[in-house]
Amino acid sequence: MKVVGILIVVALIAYFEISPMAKKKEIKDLWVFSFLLLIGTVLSIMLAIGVTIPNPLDGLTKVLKPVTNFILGLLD
Amino acid sequence: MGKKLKSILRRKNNKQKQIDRIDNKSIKSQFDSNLEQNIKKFKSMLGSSTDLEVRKFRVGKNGSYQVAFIYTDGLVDREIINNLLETLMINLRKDDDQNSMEKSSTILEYLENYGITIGGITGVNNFETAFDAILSGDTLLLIDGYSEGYYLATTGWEDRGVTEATSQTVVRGPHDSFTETLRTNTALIRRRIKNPNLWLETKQIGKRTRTDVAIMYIKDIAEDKVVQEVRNRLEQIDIDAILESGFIEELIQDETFTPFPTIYNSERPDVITAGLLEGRIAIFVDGTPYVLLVPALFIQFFQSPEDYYSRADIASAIRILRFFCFFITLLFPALYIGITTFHQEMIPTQLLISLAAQREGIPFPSFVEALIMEITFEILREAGIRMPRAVGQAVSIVGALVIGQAAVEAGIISGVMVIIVAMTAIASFVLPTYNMAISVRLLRFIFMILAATFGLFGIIVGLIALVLHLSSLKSFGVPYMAPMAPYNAQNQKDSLIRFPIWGLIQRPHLISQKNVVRQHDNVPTKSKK
Amino acid sequence: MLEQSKISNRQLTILIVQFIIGSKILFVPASLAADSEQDVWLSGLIAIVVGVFVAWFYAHLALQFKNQGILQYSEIVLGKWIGKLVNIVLCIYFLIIAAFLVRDIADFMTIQIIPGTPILAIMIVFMILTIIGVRLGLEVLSRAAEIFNPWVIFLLLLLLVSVSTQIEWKNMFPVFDHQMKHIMKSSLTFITFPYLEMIIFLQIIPYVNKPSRVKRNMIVGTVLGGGMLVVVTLFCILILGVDSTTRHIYPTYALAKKITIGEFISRIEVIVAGVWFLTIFIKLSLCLYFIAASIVQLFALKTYKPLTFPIGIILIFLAIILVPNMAYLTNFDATTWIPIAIIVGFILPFIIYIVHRLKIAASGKKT
Repeated sequence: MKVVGILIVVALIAYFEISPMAKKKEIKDLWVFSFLLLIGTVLSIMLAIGVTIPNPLDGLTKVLKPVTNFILGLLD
Repeated sequence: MGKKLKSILRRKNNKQKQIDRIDNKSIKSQFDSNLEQNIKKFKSMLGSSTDLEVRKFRVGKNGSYQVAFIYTDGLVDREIINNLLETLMINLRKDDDQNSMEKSSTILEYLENYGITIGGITGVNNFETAFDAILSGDTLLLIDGYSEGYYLATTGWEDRGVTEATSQTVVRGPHDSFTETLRTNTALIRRRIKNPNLWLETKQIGKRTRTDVAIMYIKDIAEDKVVQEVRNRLEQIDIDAILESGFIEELIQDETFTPFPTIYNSERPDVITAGLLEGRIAIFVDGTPYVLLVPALFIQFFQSPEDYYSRADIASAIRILRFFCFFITLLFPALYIGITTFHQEMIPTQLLISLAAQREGIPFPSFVEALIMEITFEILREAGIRMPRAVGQAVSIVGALVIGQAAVEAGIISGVMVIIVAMTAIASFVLPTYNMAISVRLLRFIFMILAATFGLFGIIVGLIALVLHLSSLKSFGVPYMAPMAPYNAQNQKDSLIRFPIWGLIQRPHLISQKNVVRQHDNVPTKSKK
Repeated sequence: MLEQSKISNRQLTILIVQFIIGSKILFVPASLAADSEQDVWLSGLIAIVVGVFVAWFYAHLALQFKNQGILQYSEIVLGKWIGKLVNIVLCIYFLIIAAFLVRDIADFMTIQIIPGTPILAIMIVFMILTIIGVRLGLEVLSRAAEIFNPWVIFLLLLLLVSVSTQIEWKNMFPVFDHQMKHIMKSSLTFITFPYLEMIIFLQIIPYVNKPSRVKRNMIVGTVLGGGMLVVVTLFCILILGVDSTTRHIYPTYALAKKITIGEFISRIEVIVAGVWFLTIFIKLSLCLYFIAASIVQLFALKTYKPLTFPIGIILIFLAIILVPNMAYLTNFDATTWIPIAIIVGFILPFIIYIVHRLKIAASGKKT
């Protein structure tokens, strides 16, 4: 159900955006747009059907842990 | 989105390739030298329409020249024609001035110099120009043996006369209003601005109606770019008919898909005069008392001419009241719906109890209730405008009873709802311009829907969208929300509030950068005793 | 450049003020008072001073380049590939910020204003609104900000004036009770969010009418925006007390709940949420604009407008994925966000600036 909704929304967006770009022959714009839209669609569908997606911020937190601790350590 | 819709609309138009083409092969031809031939041609071209009058007579010594007047009955001033005939047929014969007759090389020149006792006279030699002239009330004069003639300015038809303004009334201020005649209208402005820099350009628009459209501006105040833009846009119009200035408005406005008017219109000469003096451009259309004014700003629709005729403090207070009413019209029903459905805690307890008591037994949610009442009101309002005067009484009685008493007593509508609808209705009539009031009333429904779905969140989302939309509008290159955004400190003196006249030193900046300073620092010095 | 629009210097100041207030105003008392407690005003002042320096530096950097934003000159100064890398970093930086903003607004709405409405619906509605704004362009956005401005000020004043009768001065004491370290720590969260996010204006300054006055605008905006935040925090401390302030997720909203006018009008805190809503809208729009601009620059596209919808979808996704709950976000802001903001918001532009000066110096020597 949710997936269908997402697809409808995406199709609407694509319908309204692609034709002007195609008319102006902005091929590169069209590619980037389609690529981003595809990423958005795939991610949303994954979210909708309940695939567990790791939080990238957790990774970021781990990587930056020493720096964070250093800075906060200065002020503790 | 707007562009997309536009292109869809356009696409449909393109399919109908057959554009209105006027059959005008014969009309391009020149006059014949034979008078009878010409008359016959005129008659056949007009399909022997019965209002085409041809008056044949003879002038000159012994009546040696066969002359004909051709005019449209009803469009000409009979008196002028009669006087002219008297001169040509009687007076000219009485003292048959042989000298002047001989001095003139042709009878045409003789008539121009000695015979025709009338102001406007123009030479013509083809049917197209002649028809333009005849059909706009001029009289064509043709002489047998000559393939050219004159058309004489004999225009004079039944006219409504300058009467009191009906759509924008004031308590204090001039009461005259424009009429359906373009010339009368321009004269009303000329009478107010006696300055040679007040320029007037006329062109005919509409392939079939050939409607006179005039643009008027003050040369050294109005921005040249904007004047040129107006000219260009008018030039591009290719349409069969212009029946009212609304046609021009829709064809030249910047943005079609907006509920807000981006062109101001008025039937009051003093409003148009004030606009011209601020550097705006007036567009007159023959056949309508509504004159257009560009560029138009958002705040302009909240200003009444009377603001400038009454005391500054009073006028300012009234202007603020109008903005307040703008918000009431826009948001009052939406706020009621939003608060009663989502945010009851905002209502003071006492009020909440009485509201709940009233709402008890009402079968509809407040959104449906509001919708019913608002639509009923709109129906009544529209009926009130369109219906024949005679039945007006009946409708207002029925309306008052149905909306007010009966609906509440029947338990369909709560009493509070009636008050709210009445408030919004009255508040919407406070706005001095009809077209702004109606667009606000339309938007009110959108806000009601938003409030019903998302409560106050919906309302604020709607407000932000509204502000974004308003900020994106432009009227002939001038941002619609000026002088609030882009902000101009000087022009704030005449926006939300009005400063005393001596404080309004500068003209609106964005309308025109030319000749910005209006007056000296005129703070009056009073002798103190 | 993306568009032909021009914004006035006044509009720039207003954008900065609303950008700083946006989203921060509801949280600021909690985070600012977390370590410095009643000495919060001192932390605030320190943060504003640092903020002024940051703003001055940004303006100074922006004025080195005419008609170019950071996305353009990073490629010129650092070379095409390193420049593109910097742009990707900036893009991700603002993707995270924007996702947080979306999350903030949706969480606040579902918790406080319209409980029961699905969070996704609010996110989508708000995202569509932002996309409309961004597609209309920077000029329209800054005009809208200009129209919001008096309302923001009016509503804030309404809040402060109507609760001012409830001030209890004893909440301020004891003064200077905290170590300088703790006070500094509080300032640090204030500097990283929102001041080091002001790097976004490096892309907006090129559109300003009179570049000569940009430095002044930046500093005035920083001080005004920061000042408002500090004043609101002070009021929270003075009225709610330190404990209550730091315990609430939305202390400012708790403060607004205290509004009573004449015993009749009460519970009008929703109106104060309006301030937050307007400013967060402006902030999110600017972020979305920047993200779209960075992608346009990355692939040398012609227009940013079609990109807004896909970015919007991705942002909603990120808003759900990145922030499992508000506590996570608060914690993240107080820890990991600090190095990220310092690296992206300060070290990156500083490197660009140094390299640029070195290049100028080098070319000066050659000739």
